[in-house]
Amino acid sequence: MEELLAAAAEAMNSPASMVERSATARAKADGVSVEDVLRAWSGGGEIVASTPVAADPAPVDTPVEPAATATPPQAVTPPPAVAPADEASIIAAAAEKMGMPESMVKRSAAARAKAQGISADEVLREWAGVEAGESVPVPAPSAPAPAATPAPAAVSAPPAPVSAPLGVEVLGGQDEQVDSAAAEAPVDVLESEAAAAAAGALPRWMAALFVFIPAFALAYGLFLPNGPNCGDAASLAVDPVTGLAVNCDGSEFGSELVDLFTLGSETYQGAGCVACHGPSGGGVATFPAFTGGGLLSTFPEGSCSIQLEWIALATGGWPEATYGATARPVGGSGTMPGFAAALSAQEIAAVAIYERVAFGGQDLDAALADCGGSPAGGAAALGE
Amino acid sequence: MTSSEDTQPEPMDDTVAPAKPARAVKLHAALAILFFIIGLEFLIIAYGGIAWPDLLAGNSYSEYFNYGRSLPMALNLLVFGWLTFGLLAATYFFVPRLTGTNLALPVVAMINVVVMAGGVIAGVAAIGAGYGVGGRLLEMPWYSDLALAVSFLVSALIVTLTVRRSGLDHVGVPVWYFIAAPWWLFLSFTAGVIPGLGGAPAELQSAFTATAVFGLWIASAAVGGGYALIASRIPEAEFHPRLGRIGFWSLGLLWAWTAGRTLQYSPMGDWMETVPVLFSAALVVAVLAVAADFSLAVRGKLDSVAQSMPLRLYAAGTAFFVLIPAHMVVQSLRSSSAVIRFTGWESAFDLLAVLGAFSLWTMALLAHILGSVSGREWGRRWGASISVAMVGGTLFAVGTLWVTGLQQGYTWLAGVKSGAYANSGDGFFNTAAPLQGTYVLTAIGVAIFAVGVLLFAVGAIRRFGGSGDGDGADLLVGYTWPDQERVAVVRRGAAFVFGLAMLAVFVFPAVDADREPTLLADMTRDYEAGSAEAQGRDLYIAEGCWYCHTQQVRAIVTDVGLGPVSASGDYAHDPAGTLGVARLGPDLAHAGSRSPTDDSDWVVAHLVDPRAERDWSTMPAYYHLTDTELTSLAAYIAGLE
Repeated sequence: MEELLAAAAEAMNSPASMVERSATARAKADGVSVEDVLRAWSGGGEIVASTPVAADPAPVDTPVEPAATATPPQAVTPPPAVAPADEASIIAAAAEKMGMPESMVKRSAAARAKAQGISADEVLREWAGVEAGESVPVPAPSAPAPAATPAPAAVSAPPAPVSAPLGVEVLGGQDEQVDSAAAEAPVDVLESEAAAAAAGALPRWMAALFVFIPAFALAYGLFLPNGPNCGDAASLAVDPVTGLAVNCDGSEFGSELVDLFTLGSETYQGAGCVACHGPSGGGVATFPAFTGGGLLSTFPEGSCSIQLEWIALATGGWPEATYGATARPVGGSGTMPGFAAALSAQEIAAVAIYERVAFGGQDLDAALADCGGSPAGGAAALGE
Repeated sequence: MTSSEDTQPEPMDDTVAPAKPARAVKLHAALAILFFIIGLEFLIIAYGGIAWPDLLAGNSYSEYFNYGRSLPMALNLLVFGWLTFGLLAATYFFVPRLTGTNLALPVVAMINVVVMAGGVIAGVAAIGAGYGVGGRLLEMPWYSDLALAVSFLVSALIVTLTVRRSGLDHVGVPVWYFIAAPWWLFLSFTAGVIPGLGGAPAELQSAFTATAVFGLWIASAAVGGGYALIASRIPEAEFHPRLGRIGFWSLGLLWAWTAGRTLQYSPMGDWMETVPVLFSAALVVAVLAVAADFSLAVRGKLDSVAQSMPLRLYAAGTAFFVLIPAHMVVQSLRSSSAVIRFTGWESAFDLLAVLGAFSLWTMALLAHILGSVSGREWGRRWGASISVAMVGGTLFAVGTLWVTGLQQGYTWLAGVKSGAYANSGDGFFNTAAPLQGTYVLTAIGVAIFAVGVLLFAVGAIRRFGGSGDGDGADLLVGYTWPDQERVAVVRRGAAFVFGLAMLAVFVFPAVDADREPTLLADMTRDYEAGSAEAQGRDLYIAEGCWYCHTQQVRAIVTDVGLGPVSASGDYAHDPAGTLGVARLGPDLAHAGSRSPTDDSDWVVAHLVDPRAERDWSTMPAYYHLTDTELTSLAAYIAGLE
């Protein structure tokens, strides 16, 4: 009984306590003795002599430990007894191998044979994994899962599987190895076990995906916790009064209407203003700052046209010695290139509006009116 | 020993072969296949109805076939009829075989399935008769909900008792799924039908239910069945020692959190729209783990897969399964959502999941079960023709919806950007006209799929007679699962997973959603009980107007011109079902603020004969409504200022 239990536990790769309990339940359900059940589970009445009574690999109790669970070599059959290759045993072997009922195997074999123009016997032999004239490994009767060989063998196997790239080739060859293992030395059994252990590893591309995808999801969550900013992914702002979707600067959405503030922001970056006046308008080195009232003291409200002219001409083209309301000397704080050729009039107006609103603190509507980009003009262009 | 010994003298039969559940399993399977065929018919009628809106007009009871009724009838039949019955059959079949015991309470299971079938039939008939209520997959009225909730609870108890009776305390991967999934079904469904929430939170409630029923019940049960199926058919198949575990827990944890993917730019909180992107992307891992575990297990045994009809069908289903998270990611990213939301992509997901992955899987399991209990295997040619019809049909239907959706979305976007297009009225023609043709193709795709199903049904009928338990099903008893877990851990974990899912997609958003009624809600949507507008709103929901008309304006380019952007408080006085899911017709959030929909007489005329003024309209004719009903519905729509 103890021996049977140990063998059954070995064969099923489960702890003896669990096997005992299931066997008892099963025996009760079937009305047979516990020994009968255990004998059936352990591999057909006889405890396979070649199976060393090894330490239980115990994958169940410590399932989280990869080392313990990485070796489930069920597919590896111990060297089975050999019998003459009669048709019935070939069918049985093929059925066993394919996990199909014999009647179905027979039928499929006949169909395959017809399709390929060979004899059904050849097909069956191929499926059963035996050469013509060779003896047939008889499947252990009533042993659904072939008795497992103990884990220690796999653990002591050479590190060959580690160098196998993705497990694909290893797996592909596994069948042959298992088949030949039936007839050849136990060394092959070891090798096929090593292959099985390699099969337990994740393919590298998948392991990479398992790292990359959660990393992407995490990064997405960290950097876009509240979705994209206005302007990204076709999103718009909502006017607090009317509830309508509007441009990000609050102007009415329309095809003809250019969002001058956004255009100004892009131009400020793109045309190079940012290099001397800084990303937040604070100025760089001796170049003047727009913030802290710097811009609006030089070009106060109502004198945006002078700012537009200055951006277009700048130090090289300015006709007088000073500029702006504070009479700043031209070239006094560095040389600025004129943008008349590089930018369109609209872009110059947009960048002026952007500078006045973002850095000067001027009200957007006032800046739009001041620099000639009235929001009403845009709506009119829609023809509404 | 069972009677199968006489008919199936197989050597492995000296282990147990529980025969008692066979009757319950067969009854579930038979009802499932019946619901499948009826559900598909309604699905074809629904899509055909868009292409030929007047095809069935004038016949008695033709209102049953209006898109707004036939689509929810089809989806409820497919999800709660076909898939749920089929997967319960698989659960009752496999759990005893995996645990080596008999099914607990087989008689209760028989009574239970009758109650469940009654619930589905009554509910679907109610939807068809115009008594449906709002919320996706929650359209069935309360009496059906009650019958279903009770029978789902009983099913979960039967499975739990069966596992307990086996005395096992460690079980393999498929049993984890079978233990958890029926409970997840009961809990998700119950959480979905609990009344009391209105407006935006109720909309989230139904989004959660639909997502959870798909992921936590159908996908989970079918994946569990897949493990058992492969182990039955290919006993030498080796599953990975860890992938099964990764797949089980991540599938449960991640799927339900993707529920917000159809709510991008909606009036919910912004964080609700980031979460689904995160989890849809992460779900790729779960789905790949499952798919990889399956394919690694059968690698090198592909011949066995090709030979076996159930395995072939299951493999096809798994291929569609892999596409699901990809579709989810595309739906949930805001940049793509801005284009495809409210288009055919919404129905494409339903078809991809329900027809592609889930139906193929469930058919594979039933094919195995019926082959097994009858002792008559399916021929290879059956498998080939059925899977070709079903895979081809699904690809065709889903593919046309994908293309249609992109076309429609980009037409909206480009139209608004160019300023040459209005989102409503005749301007909608630009996007509606090309749809009619493509929905013909969608209907054809579903019809091709249905041919496969009919073939399957014919084969299935021939396999109900036998009394065998053979075909190697009992191999499962001795199959050694490489990874085992304690039953108690699985139970506690499953409860934890569900709690987390509830928190994510139901509790948080319901708390987060601003339920304070807005001025708009108080001024224009707070109807007195019994008023014409209140009746009109009930009709709007029962007739399924919300399958084609949204009532939500997003702060994106596509929606410019539809009026004020919607806030969640706008729906404070509404039951679930007014936000809508797709735009086969124009948005109606502010229909009462623009001509001609502000004129209720015009709306009545348009409801009765949609193609009188607009020959491109795909709307069904609502001549079956009484004059009072028409007036109420029109008063409601014209009052949406």
